[in-house]
Amino acid sequence: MAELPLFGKREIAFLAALRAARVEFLVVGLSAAALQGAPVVTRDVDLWVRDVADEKFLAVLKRFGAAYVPPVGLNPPMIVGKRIDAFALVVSMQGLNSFAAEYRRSREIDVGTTKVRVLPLDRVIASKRAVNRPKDRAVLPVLEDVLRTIKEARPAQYRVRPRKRAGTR
Amino acid sequence: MRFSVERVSETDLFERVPARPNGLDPVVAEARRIAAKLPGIEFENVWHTLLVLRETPLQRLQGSLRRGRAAPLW
Repeated sequence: MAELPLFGKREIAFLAALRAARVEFLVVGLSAAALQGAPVVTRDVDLWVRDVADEKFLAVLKRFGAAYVPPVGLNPPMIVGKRIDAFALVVSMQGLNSFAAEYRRSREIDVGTTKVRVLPLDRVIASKRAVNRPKDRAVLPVLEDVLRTIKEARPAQYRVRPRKRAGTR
Repeated sequence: MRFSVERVSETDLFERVPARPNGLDPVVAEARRIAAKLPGIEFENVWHTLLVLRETPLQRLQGSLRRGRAAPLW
């Protein structure tokens, strides 16, 4: 039996629906690093959503059989719903500027049939440095080598074109 | 019944790798060039990055998730 991809048509359709609904979000963390060429592993695709109370965001979640669960005690904010369980939710990032500032300098990357805005690799590194858990310290040397490699081998690929303001596409 | 045992060298047991006309895998050659140019960089990280850069972003993400979910890393 063919193995189902962990990130297939359904997940791409979810990202496309967020984009079509003009929900402002960024792919962050190691999935952002992986999209840009880092040979790293991750369990979830972290989405940093500007406003989790945005009705457009909640409507897309509902359409995909999911819901937003706000943080309670030690539990982080979550997206619950088996149909899109590859995604995790982030509402703030350590070591970074505001969402609007990071969104302006984010990169747009093709993911299958849609495009997503992704936190640039140097900003992923900045956030990992700030969080500074053992797993972040373990991956930092790799991410730093990846960034140097990409700048040397594919300089055009890493050029970041800042956006004029958040919310424009 | 008699069996004859043919002598083989250890290297015969390895898979044959077709020789490249220019000798060296271009990815390895580029990785060596970059590693030589950038002090302190790990060759393995350069080489793996160059291999991943040959994939589409979607393939990169799928590979990352597949490996991440296969092993209980944390």
